[in-house]
Amino acid sequence: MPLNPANMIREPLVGFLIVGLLLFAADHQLNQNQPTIEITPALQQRLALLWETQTGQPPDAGELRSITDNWLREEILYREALAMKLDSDDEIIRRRLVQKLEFIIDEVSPALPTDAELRQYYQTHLEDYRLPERYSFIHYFYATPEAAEEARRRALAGETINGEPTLLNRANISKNLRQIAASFGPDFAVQLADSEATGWLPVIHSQYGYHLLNLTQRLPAEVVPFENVSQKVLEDITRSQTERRRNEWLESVRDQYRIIRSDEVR
Amino acid sequence: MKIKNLIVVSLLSALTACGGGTVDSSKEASATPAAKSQPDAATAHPGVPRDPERQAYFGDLHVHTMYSFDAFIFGTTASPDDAYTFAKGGTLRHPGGFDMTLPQPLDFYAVTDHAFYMGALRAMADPAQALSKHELSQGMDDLDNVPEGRRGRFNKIIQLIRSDRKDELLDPAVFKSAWDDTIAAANRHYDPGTFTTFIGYEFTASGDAFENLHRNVIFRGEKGPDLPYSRLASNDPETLWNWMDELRAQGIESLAIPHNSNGSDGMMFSLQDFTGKPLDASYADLRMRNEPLVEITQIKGTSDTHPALSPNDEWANFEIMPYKIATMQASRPDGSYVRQALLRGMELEEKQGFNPFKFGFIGSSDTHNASSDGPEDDHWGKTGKIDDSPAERASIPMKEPGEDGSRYRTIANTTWSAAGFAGVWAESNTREDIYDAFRRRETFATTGPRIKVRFFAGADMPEPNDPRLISRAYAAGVPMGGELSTEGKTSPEFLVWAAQDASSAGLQRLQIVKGVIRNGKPEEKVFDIACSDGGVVDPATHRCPDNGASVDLTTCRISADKGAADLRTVWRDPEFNSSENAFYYVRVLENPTCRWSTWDAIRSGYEPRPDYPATIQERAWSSPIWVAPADA
Repeated sequence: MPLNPANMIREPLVGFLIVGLLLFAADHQLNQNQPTIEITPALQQRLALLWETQTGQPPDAGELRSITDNWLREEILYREALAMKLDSDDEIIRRRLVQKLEFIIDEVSPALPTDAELRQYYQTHLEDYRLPERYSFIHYFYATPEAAEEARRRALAGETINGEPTLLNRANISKNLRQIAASFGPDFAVQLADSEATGWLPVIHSQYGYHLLNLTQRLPAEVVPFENVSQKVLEDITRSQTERRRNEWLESVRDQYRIIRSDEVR
Repeated sequence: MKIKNLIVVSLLSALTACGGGTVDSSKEASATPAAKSQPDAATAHPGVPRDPERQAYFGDLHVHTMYSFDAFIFGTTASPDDAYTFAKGGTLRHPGGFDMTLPQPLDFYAVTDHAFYMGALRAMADPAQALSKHELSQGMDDLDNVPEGRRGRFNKIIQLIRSDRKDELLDPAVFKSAWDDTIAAANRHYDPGTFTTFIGYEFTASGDAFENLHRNVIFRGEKGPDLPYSRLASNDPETLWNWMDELRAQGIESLAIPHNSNGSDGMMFSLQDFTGKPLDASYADLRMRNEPLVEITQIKGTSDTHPALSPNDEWANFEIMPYKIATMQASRPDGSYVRQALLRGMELEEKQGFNPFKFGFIGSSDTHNASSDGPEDDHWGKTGKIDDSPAERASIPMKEPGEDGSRYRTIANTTWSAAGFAGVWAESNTREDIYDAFRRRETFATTGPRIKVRFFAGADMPEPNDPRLISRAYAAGVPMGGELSTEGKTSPEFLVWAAQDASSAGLQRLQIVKGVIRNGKPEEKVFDIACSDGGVVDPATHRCPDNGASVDLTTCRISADKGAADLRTVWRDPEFNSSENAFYYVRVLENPTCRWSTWDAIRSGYEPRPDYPATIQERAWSSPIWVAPADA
């Protein structure tokens, strides 16, 4: 018997098949619009574990059913809340999500920088490792300008001088101007910075009185050698990499948004 | 000046190889702790020069980091490492998001986290730690967003740890790792001659109703105990001292420094011990062997004295913090202040032959931000995000009135101060030299400015402009913290010398605070002894004339031409009686400047609070010198 399509449709079996297929397609279509909540073994395992860490023992069958029911109840409420867009404009949720995302970005941490990378970072950030000018001096105190000038004449002639009693420090080693201003006052620091010589400086005055200084060393502002700051360089590079990763990620998604800012004049 | 019969009990000889020599006359020699195998300060660091006339070093012995249970809740994530880096001049990020730097690095620093629950709250926020599963751990990693707020969570934790569920937050591994890190950070940052660190912690004991009995324990060497002794073992300070005695016998030398006696409701200097028994000689020995110092000033107020205890001291009403610690309940002044304690101690000595309150003074901050506080004009609070803005610390009004109708937040922090520092006179900036200065009480306290103060007593002090003033003063008497005994009829001579902090206001006056047991009764008196701006002390009232220093409360500008950079004098006690027991300590007063609360208000565009002092007279205190009849 030849196969005639018109005859085939009339066959009861084929007719059943066609109707079945149509029903199946319709059912599939309907289910796509109806959200599913599936209680999987993995989910129940997770709930059981959480229960155990909080109570110290695994849930029995009744308890497991009860915490599963509770989870289901919360999941439905949670989804309804999302559907009602209750999460938008909620500052707590907003911040929490930002934090979660930042954690995820931060977790993609690359391998420790190599020595060469550290050195390169150091070379391109030399300003971060610069020390200001530093001074080392022996300090002699006098209550009057005459006594200080007289002591300076004697010191220049090679005589020993003692200075008058003072609570200010005698020996000052490698202090920067900020520290010197804090100990001797800002006027003192300005006069010291202005003097260009080393050795016995012209007499300096301050709120305390008159100061004769034997300036033994003036260290210029300098960049600390890499070897002495490598640990700090490592910390700095790590911090800057984290910052960069966050920014890069932000830039990569930023283009998807049309941003309208009324606070910026175009 | 001749006083033939004056006997100097020299302290210098006491500071020797035993390394923890207390400063005591021969009758108390048994109280001298003799920790074995302590390094000698004179030989411990051959490369570090030592000045026999001693120099002033400034530091902070009371610093909390992320390991303290309360600091963590306040938002502090700075580690002990960060704290030491900050003290050396580095920058630290405040939990509130701004940067902090000291105007001048400190010379020494000790991180002193609470021993109980050390590291625990940080672990509660770490999902990898078992403690994070506790019910109170919920949201610990995100405290800005817990519904009850940081304060609310703090109170919940306090309730739990004061209940019989206190063990729930203990994890031995967490405790051990926090303590080991504390020790390692202190040792790592120690740079002999330049920057000294001490291993330390806080013993956070209290009475049943929040009577504050807190102490900081400071270790001399590079080794600490396996774990610090905490209130979880006992709240009785005697048990702490016994533990310290045991450690000392094993070669681990330490001392304890009580603080916030002002918040102890009379318990810190009570005449009864923790169990209610009257004090006795063995209690005094135990206490003095372990507690040569007290912290007289810090952010939570000053504990020198109280107006109710010292009605004739016009400067007694200074930075009074009237509450029991961690509450807003009143703390009784009686038994809570240092000056009265010194008097009680002498009274006990005279009547019963022992003195449990013979201590020197330091100040410190008690910061919970890992950072000592800056000057009044750069105040960043003490408790992280709890008081990181003027409205939070109630120096300006809240945006909206509180539930009780108040304009300002109701909070104990309103009675707090800006800062506090410890000063020592030591041969060099090393653990050995600075610790030994603690032991001989050659220490002083300041409210923030780095005021230096020298104080000596002896029969025949050099004149104030003697070119060898200091070496002669050491040779002729005892420095602050020392003891003199005399049979002479005339007063010993007191050499007092102070210099202002170059970046703060000038000095207004030098004072001597005298306490004496007269006819069996304690008495006290404040003498002005040197005045700035050419003023002369009135011999009848013992007061300087007003030097006219003023503060412009709209700009905080001070009168630049007032005050002294340096004040010094040799003073004799006009009321001296050689048959009386007496103590003397120095109080140095600066010219008035704006208080932190005034700076806050002006910068925020508000009037300073009318119920606060608008200005403050920053000050320094020397440790006392005790003068006793020779045959007492």
